[in-house]
Amino acid sequence: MADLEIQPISSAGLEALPKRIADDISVRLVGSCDMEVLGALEAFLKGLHLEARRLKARQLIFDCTELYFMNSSSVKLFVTLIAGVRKLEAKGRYGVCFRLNANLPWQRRSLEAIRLFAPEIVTLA
Amino acid sequence: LFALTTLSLDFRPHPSLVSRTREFLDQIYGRLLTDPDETYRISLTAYELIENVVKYSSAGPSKVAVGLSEDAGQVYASVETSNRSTPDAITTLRGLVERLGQAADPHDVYGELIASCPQREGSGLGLARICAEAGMGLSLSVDGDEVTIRARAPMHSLKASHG
Repeated sequence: MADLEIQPISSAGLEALPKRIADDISVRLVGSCDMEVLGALEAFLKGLHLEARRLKARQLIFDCTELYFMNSSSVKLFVTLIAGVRKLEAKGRYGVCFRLNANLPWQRRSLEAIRLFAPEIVTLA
Repeated sequence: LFALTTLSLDFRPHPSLVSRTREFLDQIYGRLLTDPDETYRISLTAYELIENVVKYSSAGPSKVAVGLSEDAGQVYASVETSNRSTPDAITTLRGLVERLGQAADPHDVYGELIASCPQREGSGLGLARICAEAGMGLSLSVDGDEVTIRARAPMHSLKASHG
């Protein structure tokens, strides 16, 4: 797979740190997805979708173990990303996996709602 | 019913206020409640309601009040925001609160809103999320163009020293 061409988010409230791991793209999210980083997060997720397609990634993995908050506008951004995957032809689709922190029960509640939107694409780990 | 804690804030809506208020509430209620998830449910509710005020308030100052109270031996958390709004926004808000109140399970409404949110301007998810994820009940009152929305739920982890 070619190099990943996307800038990380590095703000006071949120870091989003992407890297390639074999056929997957992993993104470590650190901090909070809220109103203050919404524009940066939207641009980042759009870029990530393009990169996943360009690199024919098998899976996008969001490591949420250090993610402490997600507002509803950010939920919409992740749903929009997944809706974009759903629109692709089957052979061009990639999976989306959220890696959770078991000590943060809100994550399972919030991300289960996203999983139910597209259980054929989204997994929680 | 009597108040155990009440935090009130009169403010002019501004985006920078939303996250700061949530962080402040996390710190305060993290000291009063032993279950961090109950603290999270309060701060999520406050965040979503205040963000709605910042986005949809039409003019003038707004208010938020967050508190714990006791009623017949049960502790409740409540979050209440008041702001001026437009007739269209009030109609939309009233319809959604009624829909959530009538739903057998708020997760069903939340799921439907998630499925349609990519086509909507704004997420439109905040209130449903308060019901489905924070487990809060919602009520709405309207006086002219002033809207007050209140979220309330029982809490079970108040530290004995604060009860």
